[in-house]
Amino acid sequence: MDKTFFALSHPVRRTLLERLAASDLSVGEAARGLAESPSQITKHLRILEQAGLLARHREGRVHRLHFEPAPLAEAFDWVARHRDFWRTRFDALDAYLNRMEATDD
Amino acid sequence: MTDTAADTLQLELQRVFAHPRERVFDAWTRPEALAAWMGPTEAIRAESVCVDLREGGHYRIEFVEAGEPRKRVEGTYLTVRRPERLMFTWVWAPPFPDAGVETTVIVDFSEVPGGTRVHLRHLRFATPAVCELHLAGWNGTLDKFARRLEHGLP
Repeated sequence: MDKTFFALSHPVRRTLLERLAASDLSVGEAARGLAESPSQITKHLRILEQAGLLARHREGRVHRLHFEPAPLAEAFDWVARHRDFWRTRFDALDAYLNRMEATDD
Repeated sequence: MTDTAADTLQLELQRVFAHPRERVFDAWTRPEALAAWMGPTEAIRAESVCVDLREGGHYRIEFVEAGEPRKRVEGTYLTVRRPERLMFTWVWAPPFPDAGVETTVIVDFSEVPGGTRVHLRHLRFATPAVCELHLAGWNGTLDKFARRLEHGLP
């Protein structure tokens, strides 16, 4: 799962993934308009592939990239669990602070 | 009591507490306070709280639930800036599912009308470079992914 979060930590990679989430694209289409060199794009795509977030199909000389959402499901689950954890802690913190204030009088 | 809107993959919570900032900050750092609110229910208590409150110092909190193995979380303080910021690593010990994975928690305390806003971010991938990118914001770009998963799209 760390590969997922690492992959998503870079804004260019997030942009690439957003475009691929909309439709399969060639490397050139996915990278259009981005201010990154070809080798940087290659590096970003490799990181996304290593995280299992995209798959590559070869059609002749063109590589078509396909978004794979499965790793995100695990990452969303981690976030949801920890968000619940902190939400309940915030409730308890509120109750604790109120108790402390009451005992100050 | 609000969560940020763009909270799909960035774990971010904000809430205003009707108390002065120093008091809220101290609730996050005093062992007896942490023991009181980190275990939020009657059934789950937080105990064995150890805190070495300085940058580089360690903390440890154990959660005790009847019939369950003890769960322990521990970490290192990265930033201790009373009363405005607390940043620390957060690592669950086995047998918790994410055991051994180092994550980072950043808690910012700011004075607002009505009390203190506590802004918490819990980051999964904890290198300083990534923290910088996270702090620059995810800006909600992953909402579309969430919707795709909801609709079961391949």
